[in-house]
Amino acid sequence: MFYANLAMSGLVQGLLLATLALSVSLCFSVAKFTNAATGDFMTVGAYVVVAIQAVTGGSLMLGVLGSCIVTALISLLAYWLLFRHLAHVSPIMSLVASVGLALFLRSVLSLFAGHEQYAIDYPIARAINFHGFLIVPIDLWVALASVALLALVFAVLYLTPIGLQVRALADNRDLARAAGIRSRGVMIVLWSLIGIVSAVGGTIIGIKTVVIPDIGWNLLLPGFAAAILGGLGNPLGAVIAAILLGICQELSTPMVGFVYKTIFSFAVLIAVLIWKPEGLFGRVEQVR
Amino acid sequence: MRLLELKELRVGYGEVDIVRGIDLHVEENEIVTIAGTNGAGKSTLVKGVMGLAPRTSGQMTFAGQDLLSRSAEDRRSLGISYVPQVANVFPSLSVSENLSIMGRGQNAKSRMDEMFSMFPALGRRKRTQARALSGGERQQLAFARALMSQPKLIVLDEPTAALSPALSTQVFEQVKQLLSMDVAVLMIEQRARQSLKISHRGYILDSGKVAMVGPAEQLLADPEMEELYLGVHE
Amino acid sequence: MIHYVITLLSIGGIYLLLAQALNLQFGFAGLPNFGIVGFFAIGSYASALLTANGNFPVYGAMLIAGLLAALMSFGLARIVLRLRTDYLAIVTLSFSEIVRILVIGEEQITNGPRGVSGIPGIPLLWSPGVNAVVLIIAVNVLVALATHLLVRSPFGRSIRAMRDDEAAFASISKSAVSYKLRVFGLGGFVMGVAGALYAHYFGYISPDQFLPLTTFYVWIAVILGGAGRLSGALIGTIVLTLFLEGSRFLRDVLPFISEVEMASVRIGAIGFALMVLASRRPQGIMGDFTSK
Ligand SMILES: Nc1ncnc2c1ncn2[C@@H]1O[C@H](COP(=O)(O)OP(=O)(O)OP(=O)(O)O)[C@@H](O)[C@H]1O
Ligand SMILES: [Mg+2]
Repeated sequence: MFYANLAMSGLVQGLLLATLALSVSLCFSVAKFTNAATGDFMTVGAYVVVAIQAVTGGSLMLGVLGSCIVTALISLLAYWLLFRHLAHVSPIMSLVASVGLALFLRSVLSLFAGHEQYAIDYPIARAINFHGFLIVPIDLWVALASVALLALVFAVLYLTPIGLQVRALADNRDLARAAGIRSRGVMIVLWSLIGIVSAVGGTIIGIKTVVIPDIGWNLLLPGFAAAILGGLGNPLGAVIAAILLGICQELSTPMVGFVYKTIFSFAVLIAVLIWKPEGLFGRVEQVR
Repeated sequence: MRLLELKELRVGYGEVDIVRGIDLHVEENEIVTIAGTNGAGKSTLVKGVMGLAPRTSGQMTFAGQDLLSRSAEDRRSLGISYVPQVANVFPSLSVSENLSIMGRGQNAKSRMDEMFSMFPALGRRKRTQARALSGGERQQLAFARALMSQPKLIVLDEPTAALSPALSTQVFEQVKQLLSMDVAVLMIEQRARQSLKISHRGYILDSGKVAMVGPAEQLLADPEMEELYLGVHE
Repeated sequence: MIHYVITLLSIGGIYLLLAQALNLQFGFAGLPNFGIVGFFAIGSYASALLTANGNFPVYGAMLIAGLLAALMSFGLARIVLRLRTDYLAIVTLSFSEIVRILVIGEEQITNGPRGVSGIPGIPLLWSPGVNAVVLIIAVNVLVALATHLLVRSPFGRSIRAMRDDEAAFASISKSAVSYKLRVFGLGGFVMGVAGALYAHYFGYISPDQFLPLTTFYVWIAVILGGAGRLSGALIGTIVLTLFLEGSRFLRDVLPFISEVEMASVRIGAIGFALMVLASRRPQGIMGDFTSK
């Protein structure tokens, strides 16, 4: 039972990582760079929820919806003012810029909101006990919300015409352009999705922990690990890897201790890079 | 009528010009072959035509309209389709997605059915990811994709490069059939002899310039051409 | 005053060493290292722990520190570079955080969050205060000279060829990866030595001195100056050091800004600088290797 409970909390952790790994992977497959600001987008998402709750008097629903809009706008702004101008230089420069954006966002947040902890309000209910298997209702909601979010993203990608264009552009930029696909429209969809995913992910971290300026950054590394494990640029692989990683990480806690939870994801990453360098589900991408 | 017309076209990456002043044209319903040594700048030339090269200058018109001022995305709507030398399909998209990316709606639907009857092998594998196709099937998909938008000109970059001799012959047959569909063809080919046999005219490029130009039969008969660019055997 | 100048030179000199190392890895070989501070920390801790309570000679410890960092960077790059360069940035960044977590966690060895104190200074001929700065400058000159020679050696020409046209290079030589690995290891060595110098200069180190921010400082210095040029690393480091010091002065002039706020402002400014430099002037002030 002990392990079942750990697995449940690992699943929630994994779904949370999945939102981050999905943003990283989407950005990598379409915009072709590693976005180190992904975690801080989530932090922004969490703070926006806190702010909206403070103004409206605590509605979580309103907070999440508002945060989706605001975070998507910020994400679009980042594309328009920053990443758009980096499309033609080396992807390393985009990565450098995204680190800059991450630092900048964090600094703005801590300047305006200070370093105190905030919390996201949610209706607290007692854990349901199935013969020792504890289910906290909020965990269920979190799990449902993340599954719904992931389903939404994949529905956009795989069931809509614009999603088809996103995938085409991710596959082969020049061919997509020659086929008349405008990258601007695709990028707007991409960055909106990244914003929405970050808002929901941020809300989840905020609910599971506290809201401080570092929450997103602290999750970035396991998120990266999951994205690589899934085969960088393979969004579905990233999601599955993140969930597996979350569960394994939690199950390993009694053995390796709390401090080394983070190291666990890194160790898994290195091990996979040694034995299966293309990722768990990856295919070796075409060399650009 | 003259479809594509290039005057003093220069195309380059970074600081160097790879294509250094080329005049070339393609008439309606004409098959034109571009041949030349490896690295002569053939692929670079057509990238310039498609708007995919970093730097292009000179004059370039299509059906009388200026091309240079248009983005790569716009050129397709004028009626130019492109099949690159490598990476000519979207690997993670299915066969039918590769086609439907070129257009939607009722018209596209019937067009897609036409493509499937023209390339029956594709019709049998509609849901297969393009990366799982064989080399020959992939080339057919690339063709079908390019034809989906009902272009006036189709630009092919070494369509037979990765294919066996038997499959290549089949590709040349298909190119010939394009004429009956009112499509002009600008085709880069290493198998220059075979390609010229189905072409009206040919250009031979060398170091970014036109070394020889003329009607296909004339080029095929030219002894200098034979020695320098065609080789003794195919 | 003279004391302040010496402090400035020492700190700037250590940054310059890191910038030179990154210049070697990224500027010359095109390999992005986002875990600089991790190799720096390894060097620092190795040298500090060896010398703090034993009689281990300081110079020997510094050498070992460099070798250890070189080994780690070499090993890491060896694993990652089998597939693609994109992973290197992520893996090195993660690595540096892991190093920090390990330093905090392995208290028996590293003394955890309390840090290591009583690290002996650098024994040299002059008066103790000047020792470190002289050595730091000397090592910088040495590294600059070595880099200069390296770049002009056949080995260096291969590296440049590789950076400018990897595809062509791969067809000329199958050992592209091996070149990359060696350059990366060399850079790691310099970072480790820089860490050791830092430890012996300050006499006290603790995990919170090895935050990722340091890595990004070095990136700023290198991009600011222009990747791939020695002069670039120098100018970038000078501007960076002036900025970091300037922001300290600013705090003295504007006392109503709290220490925490000032730290936020500094991070924000660094972030802003990274964004602007990367998007508007990726070739740096001095121009990078693409402009001759
Ligand atoms: N993306 C690029 N950046 C820089 N130089 C390039 C690029 N692509 C091609 N070149 C250079 O341009 C020159 C001509 O290349 P191009 O691909 O046009 O030749 P080609 O005639 O198509 O050769 P092949 O018959 O081998 O396909 C070559 O020297 C090549 O190195
Ligand atoms: Mg070619």
